[in-house]
Amino acid sequence: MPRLLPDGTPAIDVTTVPELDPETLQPMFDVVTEGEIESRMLMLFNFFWDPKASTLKDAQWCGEVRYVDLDWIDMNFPDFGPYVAAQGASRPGASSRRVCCLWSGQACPGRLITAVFSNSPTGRLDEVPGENPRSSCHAACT
Amino acid sequence: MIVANGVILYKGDLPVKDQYDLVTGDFTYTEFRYDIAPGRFPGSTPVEDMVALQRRITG
Repeated sequence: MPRLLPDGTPAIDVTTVPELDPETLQPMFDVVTEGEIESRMLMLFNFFWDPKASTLKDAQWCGEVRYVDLDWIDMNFPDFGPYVAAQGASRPGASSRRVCCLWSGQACPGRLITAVFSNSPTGRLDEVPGENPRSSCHAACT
Repeated sequence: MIVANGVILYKGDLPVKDQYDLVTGDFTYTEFRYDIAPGRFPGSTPVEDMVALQRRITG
């Protein structure tokens, strides 16, 4: 039973007044994208980062190398996925899994690293500072 | 950038965007360290602290 003041009015006002948008005068609300949060543990030996950075927040680039299935590449990258050649497909009984170098860069806008990739998970990853953030990014297999 | 066996699959901005659909420049990686070790990005593990004790036990 709600508590009432002696004059009969409710002691606690539980009515809410929505915050209105000053332009449209419609109630304001936040859009929250629904979905499952997926977290994945990475092997540190397959993870590469800016050696000059002490934290990932300071790193200009970082990336990981991992094996993925052919179907995964075709499903996520339908444009360029069919051009991925099989690794060791010439050998009989070779696995259909391909090595994939996932590389993330340009943490700081306007600063980019030109990266030379090796398609081996234990291969060498070199770093050459780039000049133009847009045109200096390229990849090459060794 | 995502490269698979020499083929560039994706080249562009990082996928993380804010509520205004602007690229934040943040990585999708997060580091978790047991302890901070100067000069070592991965930090240190509790096993490293146990090495000396184990050697003392084993004699």
